[in-house]
Amino acid sequence: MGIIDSIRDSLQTLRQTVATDDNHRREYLRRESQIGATLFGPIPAGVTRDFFCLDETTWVWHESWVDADGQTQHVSTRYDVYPNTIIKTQNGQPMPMTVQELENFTKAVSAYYPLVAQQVYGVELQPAYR
Amino acid sequence: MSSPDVLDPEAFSSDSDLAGTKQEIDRVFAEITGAIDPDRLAIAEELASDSRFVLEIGAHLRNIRYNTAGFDTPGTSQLPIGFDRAMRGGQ
Repeated sequence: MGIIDSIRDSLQTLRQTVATDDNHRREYLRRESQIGATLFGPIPAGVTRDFFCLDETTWVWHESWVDADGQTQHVSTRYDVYPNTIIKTQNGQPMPMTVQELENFTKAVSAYYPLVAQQVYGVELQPAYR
Repeated sequence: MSSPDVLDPEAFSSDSDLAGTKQEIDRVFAEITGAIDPDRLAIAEELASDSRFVLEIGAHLRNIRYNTAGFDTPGTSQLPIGFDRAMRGGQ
């Protein structure tokens, strides 16, 4: 096998590994999101909702629905968490958080953690986090 | 008027320039978070407290994901590598 073939095979293996890892991660996030979506009450008919922790510092809320004109609409809200504040962006635009929203968000995170830990990863938390 | 060269340490050499820059950053930051409105100053304190709590939860989740499912290792954050650590005083 020539060096070119060797490099091509290595790249193919690397691509497959990255794709597998990405699918693995997506599957877990999808399962987390199914739990997260239930934390804000009943989901209206025709609405798809996601709420999940994307990574250590980022939480995502997403809803989509089909409007009266048959067009799919969506609202994607991202919360970037910093040590002293939380920056909210909705469909890419920075938005202020209301006191009520902050309270709801924090409550949702509090509920999300033990449920996801137990139901997705099989981890029972210490009482302080339940 | 030309823009200062941000790579030139002399470009923002005076304390007043630095203070002005910091004030502008604080103002924009406060505006985004809604804290600039005097009626909503209370949310700033709540934000600070809640954000630390949410960060702690995020860190715990990352550890659980890594230890049980083998993903979400340190460095998978959307932030530039080292940014979040630097924000926490390099811990």
